[in-house]
Amino acid sequence: MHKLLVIAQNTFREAIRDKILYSIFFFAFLLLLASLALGELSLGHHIKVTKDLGLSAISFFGILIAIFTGVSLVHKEIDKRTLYTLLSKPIYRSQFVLGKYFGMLLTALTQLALLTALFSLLVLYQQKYIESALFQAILLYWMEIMLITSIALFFSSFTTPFFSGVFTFSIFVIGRLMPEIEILLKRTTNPLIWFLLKISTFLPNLDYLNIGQRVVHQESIPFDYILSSVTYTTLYIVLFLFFASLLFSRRDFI
Amino acid sequence: MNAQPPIIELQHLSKEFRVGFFRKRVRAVRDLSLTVHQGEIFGFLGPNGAGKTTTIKMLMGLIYPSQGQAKLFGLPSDDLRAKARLGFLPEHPYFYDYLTGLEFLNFYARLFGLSSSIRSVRVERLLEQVGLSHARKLPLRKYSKGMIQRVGIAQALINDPDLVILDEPMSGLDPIGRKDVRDIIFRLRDSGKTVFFSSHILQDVEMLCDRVAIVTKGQLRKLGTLHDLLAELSGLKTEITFSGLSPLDLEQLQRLAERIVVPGPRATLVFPNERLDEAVRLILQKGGKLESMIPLKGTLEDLFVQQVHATQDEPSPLQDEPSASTLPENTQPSQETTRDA
Ligand SMILES: Nc1ncnc2c1ncn2[C@@H]1O[C@H](COP(=O)(O)OP(=O)(O)OP(=O)(O)O)[C@@H](O)[C@H]1O
Ligand SMILES: [Mg+2]
Repeated sequence: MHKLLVIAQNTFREAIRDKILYSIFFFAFLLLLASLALGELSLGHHIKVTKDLGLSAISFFGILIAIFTGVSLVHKEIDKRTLYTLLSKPIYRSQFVLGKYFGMLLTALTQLALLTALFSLLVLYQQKYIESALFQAILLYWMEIMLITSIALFFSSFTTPFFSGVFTFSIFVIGRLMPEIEILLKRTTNPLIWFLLKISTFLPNLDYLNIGQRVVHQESIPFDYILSSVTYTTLYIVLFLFFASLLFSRRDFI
Repeated sequence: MNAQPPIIELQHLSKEFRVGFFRKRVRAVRDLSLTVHQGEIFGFLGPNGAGKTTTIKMLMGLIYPSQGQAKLFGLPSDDLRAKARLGFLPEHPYFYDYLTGLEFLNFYARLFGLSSSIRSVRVERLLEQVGLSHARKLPLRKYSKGMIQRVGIAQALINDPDLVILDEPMSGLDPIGRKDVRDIIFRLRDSGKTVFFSSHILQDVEMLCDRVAIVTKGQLRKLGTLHDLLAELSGLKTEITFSGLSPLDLEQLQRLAERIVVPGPRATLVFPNERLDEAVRLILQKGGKLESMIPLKGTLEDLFVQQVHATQDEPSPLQDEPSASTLPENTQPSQETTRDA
């Protein structure tokens, strides 16, 4: 456990010393400010616009960080051969994979925390109070970020950053479109399309984690729903991390 | 008689790579067995592409052998107890360029669970030993090649290892750096450690090693103490000094010689022993005067060149399947072995 944290800490340090991350963060920051401006400009529903745009920005940039760190940070260790000495130290390869994962999460969490703080200030500024449901939505977006990071890590344990990025992003899009896919599945008559759609239903359903809209429209979310979504996502995360470690452990580092 | 397991034990180690679109086989290492014992400084030699780095990677558990196995301290090479007693410097190392020298060494030290007091003492001492104290706060991005090599050696010693494996530790170092590394290796031996290293710098190997192995084309060709291996070679060449030959005769004699040590009327030439009789006969026939004949000791370079030449006609790792020999991949490695011919 200790070694895992040492690796996580170094990964975090690497990420925060990388300039790309700051530019991503900077755009997220701008978008949040823009959501405030748009809210002010729109007639009547301005607080909804701010909340809606704000939550979307938090989610979108979180996913961006997840994919970016997930596909690049492990690959960089292999590509630059820093892994050779690291793996000669007394650590298991799975400790390396998990250490990297937690380092990536720490990076994403830092960013998420800062954006959430800013978002809360904006909401407070506009409506003088802030409802806890907004944080429930952010919690589930956080679960989604953790999941997407584990998927990116899984792909990067055996393929190039480009393909890892493409695959991970596809899974994200399919996951978000899951309700539409289920409707199509009932309607289609083409067996090939049916088969492809059926396969995609085994991927994680990210619609469960996307409750931003519902929260913004004052729908109340039962606690059970949150709990089961968190559990559902955690199971997928464990699965992806397990296979990432497994593939990584079997691989030759040439 | 020795109850302790060997420090390094390679048993019938082989590695095949698959390359290119046709998944062509490259047999980088073939059936390599050797053992290294406690306290030895072991030199692992071979021309470019011989399979040294591949062997070392299998030893470190970075790649898995196709056949055979590698053991460290009697344990499988990926056992953490073995790794805890090990230091490793890879070929052409590269490290986290966003860390300073100090941060980098501390990072690795923490992976061994060293307490912070031991850590800080050891890190400072190692930086001192490899001559980088002045650069400890500099990010590795700003290190020169030789400085990276030095910090690489420092990280290999961070856990006070019992076995140090170095893949070309001298590469990129200036003469002072090479001497520093030699001194470090001697110091390691004096404290009972074992050192296994590959190198192309044969003078260093001659100065340092107790035993050496020579591999070419993935196979072990020679293994033994430096002393025994060189003794095998002695009696292969003789240095003759003579005088009183006409320039014309001298020229004829020089054609028989392998090397001219001193030219001129009073000449010193080196002859391979196959041509020794002929040379001596010629000198005497032409009225020359023999002044001295000294049998030469073989050098490690002679042995190395001999081994490379002896195996140059064998199929290279890439070419051993004749059916596929038209593929364009047949370029570098094997040709390089014949380059110094
Ligand atoms: N990843 C790989 N894929 C295919 N072939 C490889 C791979 N790595 C090494 N080889 C081949 O294996 C052989 C041995 O390579 P290796 O790097 O072990 O040589 P070496 O003895 O370390 O050489 P050098 O002195 O140049 O460092 C070479 O023919 C090389 O082309
Ligand atoms: Mg090499």
